[in-house]
Amino acid sequence: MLEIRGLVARVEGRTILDGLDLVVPSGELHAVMGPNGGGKSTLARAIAGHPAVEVSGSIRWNGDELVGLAPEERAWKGVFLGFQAPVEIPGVPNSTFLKAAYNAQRRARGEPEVDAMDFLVRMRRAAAAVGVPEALIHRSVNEGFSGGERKRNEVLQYALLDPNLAVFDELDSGLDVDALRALAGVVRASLRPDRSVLVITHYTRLLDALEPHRVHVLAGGRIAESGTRELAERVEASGYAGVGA
Amino acid sequence: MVADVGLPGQRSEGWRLSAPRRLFDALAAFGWAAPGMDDVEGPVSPGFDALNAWLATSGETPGAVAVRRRSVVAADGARVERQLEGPRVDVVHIDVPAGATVDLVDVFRGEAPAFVRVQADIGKGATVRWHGAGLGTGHVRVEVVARVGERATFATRWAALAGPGARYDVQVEAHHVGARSVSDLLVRGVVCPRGNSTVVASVRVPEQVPGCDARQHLAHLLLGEGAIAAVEPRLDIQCDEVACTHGATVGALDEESRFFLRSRGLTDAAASELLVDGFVREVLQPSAVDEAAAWLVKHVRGRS
Repeated sequence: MLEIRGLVARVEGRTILDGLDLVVPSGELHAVMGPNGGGKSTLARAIAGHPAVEVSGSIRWNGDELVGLAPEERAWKGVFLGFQAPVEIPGVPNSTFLKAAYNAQRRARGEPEVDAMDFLVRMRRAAAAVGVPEALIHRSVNEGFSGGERKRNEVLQYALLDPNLAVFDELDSGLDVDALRALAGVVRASLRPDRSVLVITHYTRLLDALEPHRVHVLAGGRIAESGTRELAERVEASGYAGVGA
Repeated sequence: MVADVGLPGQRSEGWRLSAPRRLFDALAAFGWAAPGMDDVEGPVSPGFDALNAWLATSGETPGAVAVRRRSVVAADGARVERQLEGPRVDVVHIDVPAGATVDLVDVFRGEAPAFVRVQADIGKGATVRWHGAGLGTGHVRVEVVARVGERATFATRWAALAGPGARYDVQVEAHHVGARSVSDLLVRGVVCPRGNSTVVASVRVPEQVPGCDARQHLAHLLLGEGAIAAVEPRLDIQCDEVACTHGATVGALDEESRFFLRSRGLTDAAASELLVDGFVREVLQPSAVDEAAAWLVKHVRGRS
């Protein structure tokens, strides 16, 4: 279970999140919506441990405190952030990066590393499940990728690294309707009893495919209102002005 | 033998950055005693111009430093790979016949100082590819000068891995003397604290030489305070009909990229190493990859 209590997050001295509380039980998929500049991406970065986000309060994953841990230590505990705008890493083949990440997590968990051939089999299996063409696996990480290819690559990393807590920051940006449905379907189908998924989005069209258990509206640095799919429809109909305490 | 076209800037900013006095003193420590090298201080110092003039006329080998002078006509398909360790002074003139393709690979190692000058006269439709890699810790001055003939191509790739104490001073000049000639320069430098990498890249296109294509991309990564990189593209374009692009960057490792990799489980050291490896790999020759990897483990992974 992801349990966030009294989270205060500052970026460059400015308070973005101000006492945010949020709980995502294991086995559930929740969505966070909110106006631009409301702190949605800061929430995602705070969970993943971005060094530029100063935090106080508590972020617990299955009882373990994440605040104070390095980003890689959170990853070793099964935390995954799907980036809104994945970076390009010229000169580093996707397969090299994926293998390094995969084995780094296995090492940290005390599991034996997999060799190149074994990894290739696993990577190809994950790529097929997500719909990533073989060519993208061997190109430099995200270099020259379209917006949709970058998001597919994020979901490939998710499928391969197999985290228990996933936060997707605007999974839908840069995707056409078909790609959105396909990737949302992969994420929805990945739910399992020991996994929590938090999806950040502006649009209800993503929620149509994800069918979240709960929807939260983040405004003014806090969760202003939580509810079911009906809350998202209300936002879609009348905007954020009528939402919240 | 080709004409010495010289390099601009040795009397101004390039001269200051190149620090010929330091190189000559470093060579002197190994017994270098070339005449005429004493007056290299001050804003109008002859510096490397004097050294090149002396090398062009003198038959002497002063002191204990080996001075090598060669003038060769390259055969089509020739590939010459040199493992260069100082102390040495090395000047080679290469005539590349029309239509020929020649690969030159220079890998610099060791702690001792070196001065290496490669001068190529590239005939009509010929191609010269020069790949250099600096993997040592000494003071190295490299001058690569090419006269690029009609429809000829001059491609250069330089990777400098400047650890503490290393000083790489590279001057590349593409002098387009033939119409529709191409020059393409790609530089990647990685500099540790107390390391130094200087690149001055010049392109000359005279008025009467149309249709040329000149490209430069010069990039350096600084791995901490006290790392020094000076990158200077120089374009002397007299012809209106020319395609010329250039870019020069000096900066630290990208923080967002580091965070991205760390969020996937790589330690900060491993993330930095992967980023630097990707940065330089494009310009490394296969023969230098293993050594570069060892350098990265020592200077990038080891520092984090």
